[in-house]
Amino acid sequence: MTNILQNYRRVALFSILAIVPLLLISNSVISYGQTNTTNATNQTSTSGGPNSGLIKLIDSGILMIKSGDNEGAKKSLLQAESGLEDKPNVSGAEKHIEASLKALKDNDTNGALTHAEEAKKGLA
Amino acid sequence: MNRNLLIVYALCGILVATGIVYFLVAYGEYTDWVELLNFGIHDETTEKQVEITLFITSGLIYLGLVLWLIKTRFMKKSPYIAAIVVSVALIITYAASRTVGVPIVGVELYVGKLDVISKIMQVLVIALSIVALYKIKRPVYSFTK
Repeated sequence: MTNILQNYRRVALFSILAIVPLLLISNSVISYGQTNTTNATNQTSTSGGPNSGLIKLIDSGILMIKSGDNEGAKKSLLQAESGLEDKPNVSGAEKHIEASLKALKDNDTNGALTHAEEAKKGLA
Repeated sequence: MNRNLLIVYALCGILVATGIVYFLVAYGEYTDWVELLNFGIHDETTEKQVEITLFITSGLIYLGLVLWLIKTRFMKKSPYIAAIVVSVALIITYAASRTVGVPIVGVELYVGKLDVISKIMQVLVIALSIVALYKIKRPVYSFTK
């Protein structure tokens, strides 16, 4: 019994030792696969087309990300995602908006921009 | 401290940390789900429920593995094998979710910080479990004081 209690104590100690670097790393690890930001914001036409409203929302989200307004960007992207509900033909764009939202949550600006641009391409 | 014990205690620490990471990921998915619902987005509900259930279950399994290891006083092979099997299965599932897609959830496009951290820890779990299994083959008394 004493042996088991000692084991529990040691496991608790090692757990703490494992968690501390985890917390330190969590703010410094760079997310992979989201580094290639493009400047396609001004290249996609937003006039006309069935998805022009959604593209405008994504565009405003991109501008807000660039200006550092992550909360505003999140709202714009969520509105765009709301507009994509029940549209299976543009599920790729929806997945990119979700990825952009997750990147925003991780404070990964480059990732958020890349995925927002990809979502726009999927709707254009 | 005995070197073999150091390995198993390190393994237990990483298992607990991995479990906690899974709970954090589950909480993140839950907050995402609530946000989506607040915006009237309901078509993600099933996907989020599946993800949250999977992450909570994974976290509980990792914590259960620690208790199992302690209960068997680190001397049985089965908890180590289970830790390897669970970690490999979760790594494969994750890789599938980022490439070919998995049922219900489909393909996820973002690789987050916690994802990377959990995969690194799962690789460590596999490595330490293999080392511990190798040590267990040797006389059992070397695992005790």
